[in-house]
Amino acid sequence: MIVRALIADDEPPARSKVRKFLQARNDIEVVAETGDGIETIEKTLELRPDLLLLDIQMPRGDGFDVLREVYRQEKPIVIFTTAYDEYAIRAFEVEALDYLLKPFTSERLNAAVDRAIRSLEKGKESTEQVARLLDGLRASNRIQRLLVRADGRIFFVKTSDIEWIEAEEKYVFLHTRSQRHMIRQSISALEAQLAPASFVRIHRCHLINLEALQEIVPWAHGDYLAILKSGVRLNVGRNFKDNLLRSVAGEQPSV
Amino acid sequence: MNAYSAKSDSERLETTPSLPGRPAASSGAERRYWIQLSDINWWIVLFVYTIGAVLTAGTVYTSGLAQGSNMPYGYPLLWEFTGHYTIFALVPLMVLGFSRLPIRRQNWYWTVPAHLLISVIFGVIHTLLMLLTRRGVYSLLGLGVYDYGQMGYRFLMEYHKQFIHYWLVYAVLRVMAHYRESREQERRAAALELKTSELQRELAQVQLQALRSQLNPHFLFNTLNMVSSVMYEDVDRADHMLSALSRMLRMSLEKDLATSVSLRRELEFVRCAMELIKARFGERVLFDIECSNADEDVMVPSLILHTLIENAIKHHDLEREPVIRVQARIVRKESMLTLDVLDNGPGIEDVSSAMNSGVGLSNTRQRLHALYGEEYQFEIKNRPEGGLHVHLGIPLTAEPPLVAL
Repeated sequence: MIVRALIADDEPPARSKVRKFLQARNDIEVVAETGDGIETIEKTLELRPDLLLLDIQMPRGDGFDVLREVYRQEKPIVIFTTAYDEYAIRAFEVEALDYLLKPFTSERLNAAVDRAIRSLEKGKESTEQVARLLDGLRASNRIQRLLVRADGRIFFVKTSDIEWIEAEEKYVFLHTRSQRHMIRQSISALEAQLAPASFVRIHRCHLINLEALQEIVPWAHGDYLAILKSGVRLNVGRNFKDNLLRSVAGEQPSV
Repeated sequence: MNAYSAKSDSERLETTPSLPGRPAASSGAERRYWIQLSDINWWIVLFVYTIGAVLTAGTVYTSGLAQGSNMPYGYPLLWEFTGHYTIFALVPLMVLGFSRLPIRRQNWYWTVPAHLLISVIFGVIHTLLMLLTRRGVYSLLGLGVYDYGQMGYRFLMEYHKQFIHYWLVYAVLRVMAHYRESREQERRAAALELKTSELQRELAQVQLQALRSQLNPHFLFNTLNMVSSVMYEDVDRADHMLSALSRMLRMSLEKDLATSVSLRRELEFVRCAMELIKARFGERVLFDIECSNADEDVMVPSLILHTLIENAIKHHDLEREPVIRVQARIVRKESMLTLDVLDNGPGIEDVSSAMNSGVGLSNTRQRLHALYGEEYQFEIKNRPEGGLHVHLGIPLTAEPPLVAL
């Protein structure tokens, strides 16, 4: 069989070296080369390669951001490449995933590709490991960006730029200081993803970034109002009041 | 625009321990301390005078017995208590006098006579006080009129004792002051030792971080990977990269790089690093060093420029601004060497807190402080057109700066 591969790396010479190595084999077809996170997501979803040679450090979304997005629809076999990233390497070791330390030799690359092809033929068993890797990264607050699709383009919004998140039916709106982005995800799923990044649910429909919170003031009938640094005022749901106060107390004992 | 001067929080290292006694005279070159009224526990002094009164009354009484007198013990007791307590009342004035008019090696020829005169005045006052209180007590107890004999002789007789007393007070104050001073010196020595070891620790920390950043593993491995890739396409370019990398490695292996280097070396290091960074980023990085009138032999803290440039590149957000522009300007201005690093990155939201928490910047500030004390400038501000401007000024020296310990 011919395996369709995509090479993602932000350094053109590094990509061409991998391509050169892969072209020396007769069982690989390189379908695309990409240089950043967004491009990699787009090409992967469009071309649906079997194998992804994925660099971790890239502009516009790193390798993990790419996987988190791609894995909702596509599950290619992934060979991670990195020059130096202790954190990523530990994560790969935990899930026994294959990774290549750059610079690598053609022998080392070929061995990894051979293994990938074998697992492709057997039926992709490594997808579970990748899913577990993503779970592990989520728990350790590695999520620093959320992917947004708007007006036919996709881009990342930094979680630190988000002040609050509003749920509306099947969508949520991410509010940054100057903009509002819609994404198709449930607020509960987002809450689970963003909890380690100091986001707290304050209402059935509201999730706020504690970094953006100015104060919490008592309102009528024992209700509370959360006031953000930007001046936005949000109701604190009765069932979420304790949750918010607990989070705030954990952060700043003075409040 | 938000500018922050590093000088504001350097008091931490400058505070000298506060002293309980004020310096006695500002004229002397040496700092000497004298005992103030508040330094004395007056209850103890009162106790001493009471004991003194009882004991001297005992001697008067017993010597009367020896001479066959049958005077009751109450009389000498009354005399001595009035005598001692009136002088006790005058002791604070003496303490004040000695602290206002301290006797020093360089002024004794007029202060000692002055104190002799003061002691005479004290004597007269004390004798009069004694006379008045005894008369008062006598009339109160109905003992008749107190007769102190011929007052001319009495003043003279009492002055003998008062003279001894006056100088005894001086001696006691002297001893107390000396004791305090030596205690204070010990305390200050201990504080100085603490400050020194703190500074040394800080310096060691800073140097360790500097050493680490020279061989930033990210940089090293990325460069090695780059060379390994470029090699297939362009052998000459790969060769250039290896040569730049080895020059950097060689410089960073030099032992003395941890403190300061000549500007020439620093620039060479930075140029090598930039060459490698350019090889990696290609068109995405524009880099420019301007070093117009500065003598390249002047000493600068090692890696000072490199850290700032590395910082600018590290914090650059390629998503917002696809091309990294870093400009470094080195200018000699009178006795200072100024280094300005400008970038087109995202800038800093909170300039003053970044100064303290941003690892690169606070590290730089600590190093500057350890090397130059207060003699440096360090400011960061957001540029109006976007990006960050870091300004450094260090004193010009051809010698390595003395470590401020």
